[in-house]
Amino acid sequence: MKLFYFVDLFELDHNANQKKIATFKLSEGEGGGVEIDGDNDNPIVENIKREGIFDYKYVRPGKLYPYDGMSFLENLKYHFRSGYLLATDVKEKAVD
Amino acid sequence: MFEGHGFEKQQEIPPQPAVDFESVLEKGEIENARQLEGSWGIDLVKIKDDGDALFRPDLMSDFIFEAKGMEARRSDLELMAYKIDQILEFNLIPAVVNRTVRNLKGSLQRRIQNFHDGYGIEWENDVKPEEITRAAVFDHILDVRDRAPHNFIIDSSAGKIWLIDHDFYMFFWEGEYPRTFIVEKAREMGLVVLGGPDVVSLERFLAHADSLTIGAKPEVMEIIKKARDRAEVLLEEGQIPVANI
Repeated sequence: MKLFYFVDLFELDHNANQKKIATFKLSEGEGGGVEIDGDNDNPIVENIKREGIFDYKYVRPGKLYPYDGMSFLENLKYHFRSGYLLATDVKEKAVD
Repeated sequence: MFEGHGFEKQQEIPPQPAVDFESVLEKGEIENARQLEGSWGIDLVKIKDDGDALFRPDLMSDFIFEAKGMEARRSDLELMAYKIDQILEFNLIPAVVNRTVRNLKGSLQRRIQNFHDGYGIEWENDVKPEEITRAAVFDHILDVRDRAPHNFIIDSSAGKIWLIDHDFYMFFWEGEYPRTFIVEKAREMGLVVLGGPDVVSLERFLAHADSLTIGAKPEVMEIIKKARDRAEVLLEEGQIPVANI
């Protein structure tokens, strides 16, 4: 059994329904980056892949990108925190 | 053919009866509260006969303030930002009040229904130019640290910007470079010079800023004092400086 780690990103629509935009999954193996399931052309996904996000959690200099793996994953909830856009904590799932 | 701003193409919206959103948020009967999927324990709160709102409980972000030894909480900062916006009469921040929901203290903020996020490539074409100047003035005097496309939304039918996420990271984030996305956009578009109404707004803020510090927590007082100082300089200069200071 393996554990994999992921974060879901939701957007609130005009009718107050949440729609999942993407799932960010930590790749297996050491030094693994984050893979993105969902519409990679979505402007939000495309923007954070290109622009990166800041390290809110540890305030380390520089930006974090999907290739930064868990550090990127952990910071998504700090980046998307308004409710209109909202990321989950890092979740884990067991896979056989 | 002249291509104007996107908002000019929209139909004129007939005048709507004014809604006192603050009273609705403070006293409206809560029909139900549904926790949104995601972090921070945010609830979508349905207010009987009066739409809905987003409730952000302080409990979920207290650890951030406690780690810095701060007395203020997220709801204090959200309310302070809203009150400053009200004094300026910019109408950039959706109405917000402090309220207890499901036995948790936090901020309850009107949910904007007609919006798109700031990730559109040319969102600025959907917004009135004076709205960009006002948002830039607000962000400049408050010396915001984290204004990026994830914390403002656009109502293109009204040509409006709504600013959100006035929390620890907006005012105290200590990272390498603060993000001042709207100020930078205003500079890029040459919308940094104060107009007459902006001057009046800033003078009104200077006249009333001290009233916001009565009974306020130290961190809120510190933000307001800095905002007052920056507003004074801005009035002297007549425009937002070309670089962040």
